[in-house]
Amino acid sequence: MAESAPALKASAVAARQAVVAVIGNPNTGKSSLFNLLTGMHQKVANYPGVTVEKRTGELQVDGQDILLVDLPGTYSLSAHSPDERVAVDVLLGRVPDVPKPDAVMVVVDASNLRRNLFLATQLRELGVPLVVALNMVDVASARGVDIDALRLSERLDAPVIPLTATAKEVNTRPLLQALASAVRGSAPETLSAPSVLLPDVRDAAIELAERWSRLSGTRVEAYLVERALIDKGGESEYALAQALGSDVADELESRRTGLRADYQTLAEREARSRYAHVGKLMEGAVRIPLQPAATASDRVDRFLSHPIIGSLCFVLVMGAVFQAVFAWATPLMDWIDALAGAASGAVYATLPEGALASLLADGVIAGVGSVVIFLPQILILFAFVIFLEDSGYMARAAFLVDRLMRWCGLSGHSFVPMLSGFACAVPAIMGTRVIPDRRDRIATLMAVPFMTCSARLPVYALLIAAFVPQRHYFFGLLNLHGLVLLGLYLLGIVGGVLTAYLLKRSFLRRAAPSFLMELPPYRLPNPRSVALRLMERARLFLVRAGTVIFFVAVVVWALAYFPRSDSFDSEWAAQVQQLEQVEVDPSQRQLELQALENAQAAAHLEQSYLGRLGKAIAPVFRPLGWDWKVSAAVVASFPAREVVVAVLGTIYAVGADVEAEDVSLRDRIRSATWPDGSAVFTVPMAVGLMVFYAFCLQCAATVATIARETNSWRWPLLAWGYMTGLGYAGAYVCVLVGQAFG
Amino acid sequence: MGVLQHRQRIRPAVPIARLPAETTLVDLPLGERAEIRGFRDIDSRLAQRLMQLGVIEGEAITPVRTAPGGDPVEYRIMGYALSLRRAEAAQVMIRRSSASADG
Repeated sequence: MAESAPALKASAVAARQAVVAVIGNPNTGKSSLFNLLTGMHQKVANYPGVTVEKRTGELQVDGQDILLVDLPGTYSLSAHSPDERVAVDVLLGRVPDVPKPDAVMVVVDASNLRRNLFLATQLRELGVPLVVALNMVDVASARGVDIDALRLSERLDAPVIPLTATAKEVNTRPLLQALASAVRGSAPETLSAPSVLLPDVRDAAIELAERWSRLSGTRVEAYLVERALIDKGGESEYALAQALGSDVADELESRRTGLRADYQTLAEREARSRYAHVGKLMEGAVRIPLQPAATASDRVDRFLSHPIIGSLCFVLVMGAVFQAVFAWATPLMDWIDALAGAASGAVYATLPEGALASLLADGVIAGVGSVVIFLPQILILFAFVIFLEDSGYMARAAFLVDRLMRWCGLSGHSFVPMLSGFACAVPAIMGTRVIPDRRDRIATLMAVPFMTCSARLPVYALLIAAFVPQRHYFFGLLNLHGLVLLGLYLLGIVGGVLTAYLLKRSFLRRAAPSFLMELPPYRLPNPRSVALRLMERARLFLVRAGTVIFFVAVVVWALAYFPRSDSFDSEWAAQVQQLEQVEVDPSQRQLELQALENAQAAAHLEQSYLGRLGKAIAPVFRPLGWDWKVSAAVVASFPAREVVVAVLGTIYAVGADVEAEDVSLRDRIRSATWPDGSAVFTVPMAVGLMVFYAFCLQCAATVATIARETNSWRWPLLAWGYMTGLGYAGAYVCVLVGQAFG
Repeated sequence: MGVLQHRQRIRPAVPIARLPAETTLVDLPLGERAEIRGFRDIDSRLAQRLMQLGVIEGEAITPVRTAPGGDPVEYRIMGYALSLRRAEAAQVMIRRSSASADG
């Protein structure tokens, strides 16, 4: 090892891996192109402190290793949120793990060239070699747009490579060669590039940057100062103030006054001069027909955006998404469940009874099962989400429901994640990444766990069947059980909507809420790209959230299993022996053995750490009318709420493999009493328990997924504390109301 | 075939004081083309975003269709489709011109 180390180092120096940043407007097919170039050689991580994914991929051209760094889709380099700042930070080499790019590749939509060249001209002023990937030339030519790539390339002073990334056969060779030569030609250019559009602003930026560098002793990038000057109140200004002190803002502002012209702000000056410049670049190089040919996309749009037909299609599509996540996943989930059960059974059959067998069967296998069980819903939802996004329909869906979502402070983008929440919060929260605005995204993922997910249904089914009398109304069309269930659904919706509303009014307030959204042309998604992204979602869930879920499952197993004492076990073994000596017929004996086993499990749970925890915590839940058994069951179901039925089954000694509809469990619950003989499960207490389950965030998978998606533990902890508190308060109100009318 | 879309714009900016009652994008009927004149008093970030998306003085804009309930509205600008809420559209001042050519 010691001898080979220097050799390795030498070879790494010889073939240094060049870094190329990939950037582009949203909807330019950037991810398809990225997938096409790097294929399976991709890594996904998070940029520190933000919710933006850091996607990198490796490739090799003529012996030159290149690391592609994918940047989030953006219309410009001005940043007004931490997520948007990532692009500038990476381009300037300000992100710790990402070396400063040797070149930049900008992906440009050929059918929408003017707006796309806005960003390209900004990048041109960075002083880094630029390669323009002119994507979707097929759409452009269908519209009758004619682009002279060579002339455009001369004007931009950057190679312009036409291609269609979604085509079946794509010749990526010219693009790769352009990247390789851009990287090789990379020289440490300075920011005094002569051809900037606002030379006075650039000069002021260079001067300020030099002065601030001298004063602070750290390097201050001139481009960052330039952006801070132009994007007043934006992220670059904030970053500079953070690094250099608050005087920066005053100095920037006094400079801005001098740089304004004709009462135009610098932002206005930049936008106007840039679009004027783009116009000159395109003159004689791009021909756009006066009346662009109607494409298939336009014809589809007339249909799908029609107020009535389009709305109907929307309901159908959303119905299909919901149905798929809710129903299609069930057989697969049952299959995974059965597989985990069979594996546990096999462990018990082969290993001697004891801690190891229990750890493997009830801890590890059950833990893995509780992670994998989410995969069918995640894969199905994301297959839809990716398809809808790539096809362009997602933007239309957001357009159609924006009005509906607005009154709780959100936008149309939040609809699909909210809808998916009724099946399962985990894929729904992962789905919030379709929401471009960070604040809307967080408000939505805090609201999603309130939606009545499929895991709440067994709890509701058990408690409704046990405590709500069945009555029929309107000739049997409505019944009380159904109405109570409907009420619980509505309670979840109200909770979620109010949460989003309050968050958007407080923590996540924004000065000027806006919904500027491009409606991209419809196109057929590339199956390879869809498949790659789908696999990546699954892998990310398993690695990031899955590890937490698995860990929690094992901890809960340990709490329920330990402590073990020999005297306890032998006492029960003696009882079994006693029973076996009595002469009865085999089937009767089987029943009695089963009852004894259930009683043993109940007794064991009572003295386990979980049972003790339940007893210790019971006083906290006493105002809600819960005894230690209910408290223990609730505590045990914090990692996964559906577990409560099995825990109640164990505690009430009817066995853990009980179903929610089981009559014996229902009867045991009904007849449970306090030491003084009064019933534990009164109607207000049972309703309160349902309200508790409606509000409370009892799902480790959801907590882990929120942590993963917000890239912090602040939001998941807030969600957990808030929802648990709300659950407690709701249950207490039920008890109070019960007392008042009782 | 085809005519270049990009012409030099030589019309000077009209001083605000001499303008008639402000006409904004929300006043524009579906399918009618208008020319963007500027913004009313709006948040500078929103103004910057709009300008970067092509909502810029002198540019032509046409409302294409509305979502159910009349809000938001899909506009065609710079050859692509942009959705704006009515509240945002109400901040964009326009000049209605039936004489201008289509494009």
